Amino acid sequence: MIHPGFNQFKRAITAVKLGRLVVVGVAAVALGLGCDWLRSEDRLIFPRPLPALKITDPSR
Amino acid sequence: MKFGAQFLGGWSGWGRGMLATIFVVAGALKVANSADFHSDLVAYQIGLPDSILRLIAVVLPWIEVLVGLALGADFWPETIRFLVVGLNFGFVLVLGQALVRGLDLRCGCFGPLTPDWLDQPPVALARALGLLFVSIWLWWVHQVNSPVRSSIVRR
Repeated sequence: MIHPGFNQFKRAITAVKLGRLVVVGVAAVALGLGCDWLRSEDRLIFPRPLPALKITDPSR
Repeated sequence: MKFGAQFLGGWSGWGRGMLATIFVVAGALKVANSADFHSDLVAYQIGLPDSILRLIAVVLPWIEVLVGLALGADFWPETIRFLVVGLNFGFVLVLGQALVRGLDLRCGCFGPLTPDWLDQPPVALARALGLLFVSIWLWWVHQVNSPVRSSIVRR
């Protein structure tokens, strides 16, 4: 026999609607990564490419 | 019962507004200073690899902003209120372990603009516990007042 408390718990979890949690998560990941990519400095995920070094010939 | 539900429903508007404002402000400040937030996360010594901490530092503030906006608008209440409880529970756990281990750190909850006394772990933990209490109450009020639940109780 299933405990009535388990049914209540199951109903509460179903009511949360996990699909919506996924939508919020995906939106936050997209916004976070997008903002990080748009940053000109202090990037955390996408490293900023180093500026190309200009090698000058000291003999000139 | 009906009067009680209405009374609690009236107060829940204030609680919702307060939590929504706190989440949006805290999230926006962290979005603007994500590198500082990452440093604060490292100081908690949770044991996660740096790549995960970087991802958390980038994504968590946006979750706070989105959840705060949705909570303020009462959008998807059964999902968002549950998410707010989960987030606050997570904050309490992380702050609690830091306090128990006696780590010397700043909360980092509101970015670098927070006054020092408000950033101390004991104050931050007390604040997080208060917010957790309010969020559980909001979730419970919604459970009591939701039409599905009411129809189940009536049967």
